[in-house]
Amino acid sequence: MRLVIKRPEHRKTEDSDASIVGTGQQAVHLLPCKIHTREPGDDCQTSTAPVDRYFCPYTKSAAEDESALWHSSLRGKPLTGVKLSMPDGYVGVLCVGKDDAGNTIDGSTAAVESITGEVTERLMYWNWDRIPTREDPLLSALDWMRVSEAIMANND
Amino acid sequence: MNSNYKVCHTIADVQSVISSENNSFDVRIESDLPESTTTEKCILGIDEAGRGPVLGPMVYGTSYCSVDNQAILKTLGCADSKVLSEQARDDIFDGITKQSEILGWAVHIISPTTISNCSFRRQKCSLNEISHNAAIGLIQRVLDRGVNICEVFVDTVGPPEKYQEKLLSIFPQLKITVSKKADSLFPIVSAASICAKVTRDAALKNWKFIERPGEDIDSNWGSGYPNDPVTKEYLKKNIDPVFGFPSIVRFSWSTAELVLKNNAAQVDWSDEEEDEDKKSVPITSFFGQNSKQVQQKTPFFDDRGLIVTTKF
Repeated sequence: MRLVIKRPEHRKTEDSDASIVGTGQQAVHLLPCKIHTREPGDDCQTSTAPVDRYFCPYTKSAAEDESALWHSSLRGKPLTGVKLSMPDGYVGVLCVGKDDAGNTIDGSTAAVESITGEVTERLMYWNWDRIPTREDPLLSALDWMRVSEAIMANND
Repeated sequence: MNSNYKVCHTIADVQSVISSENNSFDVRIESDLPESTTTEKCILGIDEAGRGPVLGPMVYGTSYCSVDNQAILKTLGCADSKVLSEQARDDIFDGITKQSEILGWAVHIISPTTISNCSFRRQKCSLNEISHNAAIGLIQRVLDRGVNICEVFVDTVGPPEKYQEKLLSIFPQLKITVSKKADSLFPIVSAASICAKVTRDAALKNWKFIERPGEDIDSNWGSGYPNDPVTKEYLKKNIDPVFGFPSIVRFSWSTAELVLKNNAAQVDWSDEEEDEDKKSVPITSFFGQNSKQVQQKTPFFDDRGLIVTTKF
């Protein structure tokens, strides 16, 4: 599964999803690991995990501070995370890829993507025992949104 | 260092603190401060319980009293906690808590999550280091409360000399004796050992499984030691395919790791993958042009892990 960051107005088929944004849906956790939940040949699109019970009793270092570090533990590994909001004007969309034969695949090279319907404005970004910083590829990649907007504005 | 200690007066207090706290985190409990220990010269003992098991917390305990009052320890029956029955330990701990005018004690419950997390840090922190830090924390706490400690006795399973040196470098003003089997040699360590063991037993009995709220919990885990077949069977039966075990289990124990490997989803950590990739690069790739590396216009994209996916 992967996350695609989109501008809502560019979306074609899933406009109805916009209503989901901001409702009390489950948080999206971006983990520093790959969990091989599917058996080979198993075409189950999504597998569920009891995140609320096994993962969510995490703690926050400073109360009421949006930029505070969070701590959690997965399979005994210490995780350090931050709450990440999508850039203004964008939402995140969870996608599941399918290969030519229609099998569900995880790789980012998927030919066709189907939208799972999960739309998110924010997610928890977790590192394994490393404080998330602006040096992290994902956190810095979001710069491109603003840079590209500036370039597009110049083109006009 | 977190010095958030809860004060307890009886074994029932200890049980209620344990069942009201989130078991994923460490808990620290202490007695009231006996008046006499701030004025008279005191001895202090330290011991641990639950170092080996794959289940539950490791508990560090300390007890202290004035040199003149130490006869009370023998009167209460303080001996090595391992040779006493569970009932005998509970009775002695009850006695210790009733002598609150002269006997002080404190325990640090090191959660299984803390133990696993330390072991799985990028810079691994060994169980010995965790133990030493817990002992140092307890001594410091008792000093901070104003107890007039003159002599400290510490039980250890590792080499005593280096440990003793380490403690002396931190507390040069104290006379410190680190020794194997100190719990059977010094009654003040026996008392500490009983506090630790009673707390560990209480922690296991009152463990709150946040993973399964409101469910009947299968607590048939045997001794908790890795070579116990009942414990192994318990581990196999209580697996979530994604998250593995409930947080009562020490994920870093090799027994636990093996059970997970055979019975739960495989998890690859990003850094481990990277390392493998690096290893598998053939040496020839350093010569000539690598066709895979497409020159981007600026390092901006490379730095951010961005690639162009749409051709114009």
